[in-house]
Amino acid sequence: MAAPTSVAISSAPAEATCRPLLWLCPLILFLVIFFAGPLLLNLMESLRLDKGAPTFAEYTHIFGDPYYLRVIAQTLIFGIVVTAICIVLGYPLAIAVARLDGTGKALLIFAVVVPLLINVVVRSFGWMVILSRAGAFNWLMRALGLPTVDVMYTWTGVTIALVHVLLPFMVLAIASTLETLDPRLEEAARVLGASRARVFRHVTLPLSFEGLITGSILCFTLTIGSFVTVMLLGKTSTMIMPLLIYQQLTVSSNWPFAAAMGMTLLVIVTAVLWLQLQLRRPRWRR
Amino acid sequence: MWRDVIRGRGAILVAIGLGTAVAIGAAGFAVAQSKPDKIVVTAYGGVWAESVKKNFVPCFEKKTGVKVEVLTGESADWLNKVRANPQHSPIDVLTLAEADSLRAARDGLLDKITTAEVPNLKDIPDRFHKPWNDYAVVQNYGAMGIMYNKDAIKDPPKDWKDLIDAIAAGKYGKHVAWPAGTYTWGPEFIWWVAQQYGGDIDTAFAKLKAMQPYIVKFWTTPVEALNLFGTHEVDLLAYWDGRAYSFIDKGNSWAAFYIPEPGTIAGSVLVSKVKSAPPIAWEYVNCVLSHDGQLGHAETILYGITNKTVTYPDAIKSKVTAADRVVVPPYDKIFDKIPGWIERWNKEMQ
Repeated sequence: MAAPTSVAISSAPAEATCRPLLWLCPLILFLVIFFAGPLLLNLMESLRLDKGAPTFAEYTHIFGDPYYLRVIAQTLIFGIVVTAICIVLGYPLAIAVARLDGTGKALLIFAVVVPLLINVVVRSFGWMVILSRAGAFNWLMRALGLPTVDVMYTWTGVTIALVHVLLPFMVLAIASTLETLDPRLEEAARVLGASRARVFRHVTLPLSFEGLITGSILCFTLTIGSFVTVMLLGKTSTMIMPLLIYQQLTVSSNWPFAAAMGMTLLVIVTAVLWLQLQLRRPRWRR
Repeated sequence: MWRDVIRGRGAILVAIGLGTAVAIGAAGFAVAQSKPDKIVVTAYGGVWAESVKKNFVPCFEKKTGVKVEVLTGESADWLNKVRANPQHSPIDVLTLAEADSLRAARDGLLDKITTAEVPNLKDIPDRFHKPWNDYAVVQNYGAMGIMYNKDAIKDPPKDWKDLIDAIAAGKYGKHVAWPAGTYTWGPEFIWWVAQQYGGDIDTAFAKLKAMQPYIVKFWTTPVEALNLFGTHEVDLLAYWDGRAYSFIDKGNSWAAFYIPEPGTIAGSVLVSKVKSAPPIAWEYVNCVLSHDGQLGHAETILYGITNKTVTYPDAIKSKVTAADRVVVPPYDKIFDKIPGWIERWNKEMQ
């Protein structure tokens, strides 16, 4: 009789540990079917497994051609630049969102989020109307007697349009962290004689780091995965990987090459995310 | 008792009964297979989809009693949907572009069209279905021409070569938009430019590069192109005839459209039946190619149609480009070169 009792007692903690994991089963099943499964099919397509033995010809094509290497570099730089601008513009906005309350706060959040309520194609056409040579911005420049600027179909135009739509992700991610920040910590630093800049550098910024990293991950991944805005507001020279993948699928109908570029993009994104997650470690925040 | 029945005459009756039940079930299944509740057909958006609902769907529903679901979208999207699930295709009748039709046929996704299943095929000239080995039939074509701002350009060149050279010389400034090589019909238009210079593709790319400083945008969607022209960002736009006339007819009398000599390419839409689609889908293809269907389609979308028994009414005669003015590119020769041209476009047209 003693043996079953001892088993029951020793298995109780294990059961308690396993029970929460059981709740994850539906999610794991969902991910296996709708994420891992298609990913595996994509990998098989890129290796042309349907034709027999696997071949790395598509990957050799990508990494052996300076043009595709340049597009990979452009994609990464584009993602970094858009994310950096979102941080610079988004942080002050996030502070305002966190410090305001009542109607002012609600209105500011609505103003920040409103670009997400507009369809991506409509939004892109809206930017065309504003940024084109005959558009609203240049009309204003001419009215003020200033020289007109040509930003449509350039990296500048594409960057403006993407910052516009991705800014809410950065603002809301940082603001949610700042809202949990105890204001007495900043007050204490001020009482002890720290300047506003020093309080920001040594108190506010380190304590909002989690939000900054979350916002950066969202902005970066969404930037390097976007193609409709880049297709409509850019041109051949503003090429990024998602646009190339789209072209291979729709015009060239070259699925294996598109799949190989998709896998390459996935590996790059994963590597960059890993690097960004390393920044969460305390030693980087000192 | 059961043992007795099986041993006796009852066994024969049971066998006959079961056989009849199975036969009725099988026949019912076959009928259900040949006559589904609905079929799914494709249509490009806007006025194109309106035309499908007005000119083809009622004809099919009246003849068969089967409903039609119209799926709007783009050629490559539909092809990818069928390729992803060829055994149980979510689409029964496709309306693909030329190269996509060839791809679908090569991948074994389509049924061959014959006059036995589609009697109206006899009224379609060979050049509108033979290049696709009868796996797809051109139902309508657009003609690529020039839409221009009459206030800014008084006397545009009469032929393509003069036009291309004038653009490259900067005669119209940076106020020109041209289809990109990466647009669905872009590779065909590169081929057409090459034809103006003896068929040499290198010359075509050289000419397009020479034009590039004066091109506001090599457009990739017709809507984007029209936006550029409508906002006066460009004064000269290489564009499809039907869409151009539709724009001019909406009170934009400052715009005009013409086809430079010696004619132009046909941007065709081909109707085809997916292999896994029920046989009743042939009737829809027949409706699309019928005299009344084709005439109604031309009147609605102002694109050329291919049924030779149709005579265009006076109201649209001047707007629809006649079949003898368009060239169908030799897809069997250029098809395999398209991926290379797209890669070259991406690398050179920076």
